[in-house]
Amino acid sequence: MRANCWMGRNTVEVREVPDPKILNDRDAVVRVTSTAICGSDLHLYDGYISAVRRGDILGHEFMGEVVETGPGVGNLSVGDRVVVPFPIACGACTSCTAGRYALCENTNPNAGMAEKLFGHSPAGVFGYSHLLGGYPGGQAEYVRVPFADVGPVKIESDLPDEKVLFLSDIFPTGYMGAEMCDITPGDVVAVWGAGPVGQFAIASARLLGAEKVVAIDRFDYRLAMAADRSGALTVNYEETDVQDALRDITAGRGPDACIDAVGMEAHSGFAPLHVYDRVKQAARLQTERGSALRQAIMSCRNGGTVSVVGVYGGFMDKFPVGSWMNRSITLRTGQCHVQRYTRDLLERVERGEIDPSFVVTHRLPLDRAPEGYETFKHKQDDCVKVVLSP
Amino acid sequence: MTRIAAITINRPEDEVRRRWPGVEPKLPPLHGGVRLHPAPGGRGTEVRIPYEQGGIAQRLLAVTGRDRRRVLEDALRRFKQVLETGQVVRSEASPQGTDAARQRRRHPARPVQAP
Repeated sequence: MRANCWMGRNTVEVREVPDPKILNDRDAVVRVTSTAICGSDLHLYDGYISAVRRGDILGHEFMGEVVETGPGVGNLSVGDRVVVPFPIACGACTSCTAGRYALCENTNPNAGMAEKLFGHSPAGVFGYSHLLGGYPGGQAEYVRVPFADVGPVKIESDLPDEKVLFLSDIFPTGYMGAEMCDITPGDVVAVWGAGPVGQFAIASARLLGAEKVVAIDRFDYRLAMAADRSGALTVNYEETDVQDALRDITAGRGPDACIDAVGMEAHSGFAPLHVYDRVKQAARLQTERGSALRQAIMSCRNGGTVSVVGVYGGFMDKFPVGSWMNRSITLRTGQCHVQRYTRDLLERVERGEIDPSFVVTHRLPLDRAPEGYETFKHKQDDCVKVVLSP
Repeated sequence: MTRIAAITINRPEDEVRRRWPGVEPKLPPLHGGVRLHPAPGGRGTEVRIPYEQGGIAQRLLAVTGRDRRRVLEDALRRFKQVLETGQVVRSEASPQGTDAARQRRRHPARPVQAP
């Protein structure tokens, strides 16, 4: 089969590789009909995650048709149409039974490696380096899906792929980001990052009853999407001071909740800080660029919540611990426990409450994945989200 | 110095005790100092295996993942996977499951060649 493989920094190639096989009794093999490139794929592409190896198949947002099931899979049949969550979860450990699927205790065979960096290992993830299990990803014609009786959600309606594909990752991730804000009537929620996850965080904050949602980014076309689709107020941080704008919007209080949908490759509008972060990152003195997170904490109102769904991988410098501690800021975070949300969010899509396909701006065949990565990385051609079809 | 390799398994103690022999060859026998205890708050069973930390030889072995600590921890992880999910969990890069000694010869994350 053909699959998109990491071949080095800023290099992916679509190569001929062996077809996946059933390795565990509860596996299924899925023929991929649609898959997408994620912002967190860019951390792999840009070379910030050292545990990736030449030849690894990337991709963790995918859906398709079941073509084979292992003997332990009772709930799926060949021919079923499924969307597959990006964390791999066994369903039986204490974390899974508590609904914390992205923390499954059993699905990372390389748990020892992850423990060295993180203290304890999170769940295995599709296509996200050997640190998280070394599972081949979904930017391919076929994928082996472990614990197929736990993760995949069956699509029984005739909704097109683009309306349900994002249940695999970015829609639940944005939704969890908004849910962690514990939104109550009257709340103002500010969202750093108007990329696909940010767009869903903004839309979800609306669904969950926020009074006002503020989108913060530097690309006007992304801010316009947030304004048009979700009625967000917008702040372009290259033109306006963010903290001033938020003080104005909230009459001096600060936002009740701040969502970081940016993560470790943040760009800062304050040039000396951006240079500082980039130099330290290049010298491997820090692994993250944390300017979005810093600003989210500093801007948040006293006693508010900072909800972090942007991906971080190691250690950041200059964390505003004094601001966080002295002002009773609640910091909530996590890789999304997708399996917890898929059923409910699918129902919302089926009821017409939201159409997730609004983020799709580019559609390419799988063979043009390298071009897709470049377009997405450099935000060319007003790119927001690239969907690939094998 | 005595250290402890530990894991919590989301299964009742009598089941852990009953299934201990025969599932994971690298685990010591129960009578060899292994301690089992119900985990608080309904979290299952706590398993603790004391072992000797060892000296320079163990540190050298740690480079290849064959030191006592890693062997025991990986064995406990595999045992937990079998009890909680039915099998040792495999990935294409680690088709043998959790085994630190195999880390250096990791296969890329793509399907394994047909035999």
